[in-house]
Amino acid sequence: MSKLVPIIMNDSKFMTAVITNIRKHMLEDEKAGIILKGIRFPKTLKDFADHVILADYDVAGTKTVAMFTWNYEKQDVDVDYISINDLGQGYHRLRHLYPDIKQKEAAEILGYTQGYISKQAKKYIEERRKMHKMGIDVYLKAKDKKEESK
Amino acid sequence: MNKNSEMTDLSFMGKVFDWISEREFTTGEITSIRFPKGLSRMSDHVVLIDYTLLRKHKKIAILTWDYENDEIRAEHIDANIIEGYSQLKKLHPYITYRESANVFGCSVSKINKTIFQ
Repeated sequence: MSKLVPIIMNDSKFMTAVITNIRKHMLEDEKAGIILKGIRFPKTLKDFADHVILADYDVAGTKTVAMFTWNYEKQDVDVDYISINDLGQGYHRLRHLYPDIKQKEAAEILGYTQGYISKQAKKYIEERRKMHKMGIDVYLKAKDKKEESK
Repeated sequence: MNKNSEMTDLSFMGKVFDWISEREFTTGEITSIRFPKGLSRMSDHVVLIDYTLLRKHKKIAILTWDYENDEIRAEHIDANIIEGYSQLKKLHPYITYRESANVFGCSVSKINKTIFQ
């Protein structure tokens, strides 16, 4: 049985792997209305992952960031898709995927400044709290009505 | 003009990826690859590559499709607006401020401010 030989990854090889991955899906993407807007090669994410490439997509009108990293176990490219139409939601999704991520790193991945991300994240939490409270109020009102009718 | 091949956005993108792979760029050298809108007067397919030469000299490669030679045409300008703008103007004399802003990835007012300062 042949043994899987781990690939020692370098920047150039990783870039080729990511470009191959993007190319593989290009035709399907075009048919599905997924438009590649740009590719970013961040320099300040070395602590986050040794190799990261970011691609900005327009998925049928929704701004989406695809984050490519190298998975040493699978010996293949890993992709995470983060929708950033609601930047606050995108930030929290990123935090959910990578709990140890620093705000500076998240800002670099999402392609906005740290200050703007922090503002949007706060706004998102506030809105969620409001929605949650609204949900509780509706539930309590319905409960009261039910008890009254008894 | 000899239009040897019909070029679509998709096949042009493929050619650009080939062009990059042939040059063995590393992720440290390339900062970003941009697919700009609003440069259709320059060419029907334009891709911009922001890269760093010898770790300090920031450059922009303007890639377009050369229908005559059936290959990518690469024009290199400085990313620094002061030097880059005059190089861009030499290559594309009729380029507008808005189009230049698209190339440099900045606002029109920044172009105006930098040139007239």
